[in-house]
Amino acid sequence: MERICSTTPDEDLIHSLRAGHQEALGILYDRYGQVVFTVALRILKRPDEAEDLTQEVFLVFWKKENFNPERASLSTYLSVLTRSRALNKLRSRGSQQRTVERLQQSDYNEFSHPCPLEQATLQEQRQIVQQAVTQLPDSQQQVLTMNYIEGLSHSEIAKRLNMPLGTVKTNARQALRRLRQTLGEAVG
Amino acid sequence: MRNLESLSEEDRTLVEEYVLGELSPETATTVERRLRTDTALRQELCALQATLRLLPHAQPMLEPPPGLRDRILATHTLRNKILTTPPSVQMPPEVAPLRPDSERDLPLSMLLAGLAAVLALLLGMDNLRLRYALNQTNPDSATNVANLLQQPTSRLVALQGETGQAANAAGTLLFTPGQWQQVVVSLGNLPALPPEEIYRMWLTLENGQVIFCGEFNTDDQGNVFVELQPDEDVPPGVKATGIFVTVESASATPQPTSQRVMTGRI
Repeated sequence: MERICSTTPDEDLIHSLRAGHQEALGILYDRYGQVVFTVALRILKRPDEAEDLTQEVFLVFWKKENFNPERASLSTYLSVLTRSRALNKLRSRGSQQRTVERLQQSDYNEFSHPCPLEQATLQEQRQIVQQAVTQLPDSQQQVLTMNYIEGLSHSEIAKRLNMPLGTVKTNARQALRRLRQTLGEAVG
Repeated sequence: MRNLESLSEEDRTLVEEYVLGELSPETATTVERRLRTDTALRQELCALQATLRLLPHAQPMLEPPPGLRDRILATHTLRNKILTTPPSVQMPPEVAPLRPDSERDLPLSMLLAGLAAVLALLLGMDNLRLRYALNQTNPDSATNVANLLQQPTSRLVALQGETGQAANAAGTLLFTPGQWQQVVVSLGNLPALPPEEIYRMWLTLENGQVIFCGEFNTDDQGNVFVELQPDEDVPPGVKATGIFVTVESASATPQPTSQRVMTGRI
């Protein structure tokens, strides 16, 4: 195998890591450490727990044979894995069990194949998704972020924003629909 | 977008609510049954899931703590290089297996060398001093330390001297959150104590409770490298907030009665 460096593709880095080359883990961390830590902290709210989860994710993900580059890009795989583990940790705190159960209800078929946008560079993904999100009305943006990124249930969001539950649900669904329409073919 | 037109408004709403986790378990099961055969519905599901998966990328990125990268790499080194036995190495019969479910054993010398290298990085200690300290421990202890370091969530806590002769003391504690029964402590520059006194370490919890972790003395150079196995566990759901060390009478019952000579925040 060629010498690995900061431009080596993810797939080769994982292959290299599985073959025992530790420097590959350092490059993957440099590439995705921020994403993993950000997702962990947004859900867990506690920097020490987010730090622990980031370590946990980087030490286990590459061993999992269920990571298949043909079915998911590494950035979204890590992001989903981190989110799922963070929600499990919330569940172990005991206060948000209902939220977690609801949010994990829709895991069916989660990784069937990466969408076109997930095959772009992380920088391109960020740019396009950020642009699409900024086109959402503020209220929809806020509800979707609180729901998906922070792991809050619609009832919790309604309470926090002092908004009728029905309005929260409508905002979340409309936000998702509009975002999906804006992203169009980029998500399939 | 190619299949969107072929979906009814009702189905679009249904799959959106499914992705958002808003359906009752019964309705969700019905949707999943339909997804197996309804291509248009499944493709829309994939697009909506991808939309949500990508959503974190729109968030402002947060910088992880500076030491985290080194900690991950150091732990990985131990777990995946040092604890992997080369096929050519012959096992001495007295070495116990590192993991009960593993068929791979590791010579003690290799284990100690590996531990010293990783602990030196993690605990900020001199490698030679660590090798010496580890050589003084029994093989079971060294194996326990190795097992502790294998935990993906192992954490470090920095300890600093507080007062008097212990003001220059410093060190680190290594533990795994949720598994408080085993911690490794590495301290330096602690004053030696008279025989009737001993250092004791305590854990403070967010509910104000204090747990006795164990006791130790320094070596001739004022160093401590010890594995503690606290009897009392942290109650489930209660967060540990800090560590402190006191000097106590060696014969006294474990109660923190004196001033704190070292402290650390978790």
